[in-house]
Amino acid sequence: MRTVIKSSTGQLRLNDKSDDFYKLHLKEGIRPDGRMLMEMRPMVLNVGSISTASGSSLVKVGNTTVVCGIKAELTEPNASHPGKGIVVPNVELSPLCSPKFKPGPPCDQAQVVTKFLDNLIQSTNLICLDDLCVENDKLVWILYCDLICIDYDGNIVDASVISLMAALQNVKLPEVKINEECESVEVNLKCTATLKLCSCPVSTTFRVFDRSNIIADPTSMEEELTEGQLTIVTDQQGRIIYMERPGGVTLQEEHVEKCMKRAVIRGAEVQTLYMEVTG
Amino acid sequence: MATDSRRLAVPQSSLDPKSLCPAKVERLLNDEEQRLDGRYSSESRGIYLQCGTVSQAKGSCYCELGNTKVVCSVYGPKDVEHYEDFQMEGKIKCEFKYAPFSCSKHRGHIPDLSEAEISDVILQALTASVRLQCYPKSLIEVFIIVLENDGSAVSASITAASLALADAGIEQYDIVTSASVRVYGNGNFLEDPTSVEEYRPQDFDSESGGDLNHGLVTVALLPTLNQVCAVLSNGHLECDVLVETIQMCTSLAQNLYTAARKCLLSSVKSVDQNNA
Amino acid sequence: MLLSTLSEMKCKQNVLKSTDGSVEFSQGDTVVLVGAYGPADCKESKQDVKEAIVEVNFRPKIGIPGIAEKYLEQFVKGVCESCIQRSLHPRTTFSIIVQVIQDRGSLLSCAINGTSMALQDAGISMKFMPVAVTVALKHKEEVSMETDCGTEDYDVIFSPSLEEEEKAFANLTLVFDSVKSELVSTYASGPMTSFQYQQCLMSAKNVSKSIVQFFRDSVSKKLAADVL
Repeated sequence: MRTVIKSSTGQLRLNDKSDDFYKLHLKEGIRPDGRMLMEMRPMVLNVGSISTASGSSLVKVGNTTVVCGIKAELTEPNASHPGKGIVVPNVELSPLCSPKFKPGPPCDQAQVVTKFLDNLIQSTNLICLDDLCVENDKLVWILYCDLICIDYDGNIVDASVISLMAALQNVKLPEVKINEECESVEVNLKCTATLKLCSCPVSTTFRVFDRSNIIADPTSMEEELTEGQLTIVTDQQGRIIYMERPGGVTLQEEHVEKCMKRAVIRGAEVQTLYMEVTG
Repeated sequence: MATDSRRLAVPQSSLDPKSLCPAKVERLLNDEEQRLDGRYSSESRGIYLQCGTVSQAKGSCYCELGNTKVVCSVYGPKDVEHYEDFQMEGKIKCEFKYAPFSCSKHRGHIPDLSEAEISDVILQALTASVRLQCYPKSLIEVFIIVLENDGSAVSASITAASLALADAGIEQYDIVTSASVRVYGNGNFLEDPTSVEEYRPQDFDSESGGDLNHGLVTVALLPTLNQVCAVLSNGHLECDVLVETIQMCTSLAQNLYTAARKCLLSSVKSVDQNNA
Repeated sequence: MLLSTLSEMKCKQNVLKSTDGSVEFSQGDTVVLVGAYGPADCKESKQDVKEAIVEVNFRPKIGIPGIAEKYLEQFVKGVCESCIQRSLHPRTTFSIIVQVIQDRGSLLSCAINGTSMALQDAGISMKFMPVAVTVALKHKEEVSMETDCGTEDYDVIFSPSLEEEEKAFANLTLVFDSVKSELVSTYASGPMTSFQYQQCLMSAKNVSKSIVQFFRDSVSKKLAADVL
């Protein structure tokens, strides 16, 4: 049974919860856009295109486009960590990228993805924060990592992780010294150094349809039809460094294992892409 | 900056390292009459326009003017909020935003007053060209984000917004093109200024000693109708200098018409090819 | 490899008078107060025609809820959405409010176990009771941090305290269902191999059975007191 409902964006759409359309595709083991269940969309990565940012990248995963720009500025450190730099990620899901989002403060999804990136940076020790310290208790680098979604077609998590990583690899920090005698800060823009990254994570997102079908890299339409999300983050050694499944449906262990294996393969593919692009 | 509970906490203020060793720009034109990027004073940068960049939007456009990069997306016509009265004419809402990494200093996420002012100017320019009487009780939303600001962001945004509206199939009297000119001193004009060349109030006394004319003028034009729909002028300009500058901007904006037209034609052709 | 035991759990039910169900749940030194309302009336714009919607509010001990709380909310919400029989109550809403009273580690599992008991206290029909276990993998004291964590030189600690969580190289929160012990929700951070993950899963599953027994005992005590 199909009903026509008015969504919050004021646009009329079919109530896809009846999902016969999707089930017909899954019976043949294929999805409406022609992909297999565990197949990912093609990815395009470009770094260093924004000259006003210290490091930048643009990622397209299918239609989902995320631009990450990193601004490196100098500030006083937190009182609790006087010798450590600060990294502040922020994901913008503005109404520009999709009719699903309203103007105003960040929606729940944007907040969750921002916190996910923050957890990822901290738990995996992605950047050695001691390296970002210029002078203990006086001056540290702060990296504002702003991820702007230009086009939202599902799977913002994977696209954000990839663009953040690529942009961080692209960052060039100028040399900064504190002149003891005149207590001023001297910046040498010509002498730049890249960031030392301790790991290179890649995330893979899966969603569950009808409790038994697992699809990888969901599009926006598939996100609305499915329940339960599983995100697995792997590093260059194939270990799992982060996994989150906020609930929704129970999953059999063999399904989770299958997802973990697929995530490791995908991790390796994306690592080669990083290598090619950043050189 | 007030702490925003919906974003991660940031320190109160931070210093841009480039501001600590400012490269003082002594002159905007060197001895061979060339600007800092090698152009002559009456030379514009190349423009790149592409429609249909945002797949989720009804209409969208990406514009590159030199290093300035702008993305615009259009949604609508859609229902107005239920609390608003019945209106015979449609409404346009425009939101302009600089990305936090687009300027030399990191910008906050909450739109500030300058962005609100520019949104108003763009709205004014678009209202003149959109046939709002065709869309009663409807709302057309235009969202613009500047990914990199290397001067003339406002004029690039206006052109991109108009092409995005055309891409969305919204009826307009004409596409709106826009251009900027920087004035410094009497008779010194720089077409299509970069961010270094743009007018800042603190540059007032530094150039062409004593001459009062300093400013930046942006003009939005309806090219086939040859009508100006918006003018934004910053700085000190004498009346005749202002008039001359507006005429200069108008002819620049007129030249953009061919590029805009080509962009729309190629986007329609590619849609045709995809459907065929 | 050492497997520690679960820290002591305490549960006080029906502590708040105005809520449909409430519980003060503590796991070791971590204490949360959970209130559950439902099924309650809902604004027409938010209603779902086929099933109830779940709203979760996670409140920190001090300050306004920020994005860290938003992140934990999605876990509690996901778990509640899968355990509550939502299709029995269409066009209504279930609200769960979790107030952190003291956080000394294993906060997410304490919150989910507290939510589980609060939903039961409110008499909300559920398909199963969610049972959460936090596991930390910590290198043994003698072994240095650079050792490849494929070896067996690590301890498996259940319900770790804050210090243990910080020293551990991996932290996992696993949520099982009380009926079939299937995995409902996962949160894992820290480098681990697939083998270590499976090991944690097996040991957590065994421990979850003792938590289910604790839930049973608490409920029978409460009902016995009512009967008497």
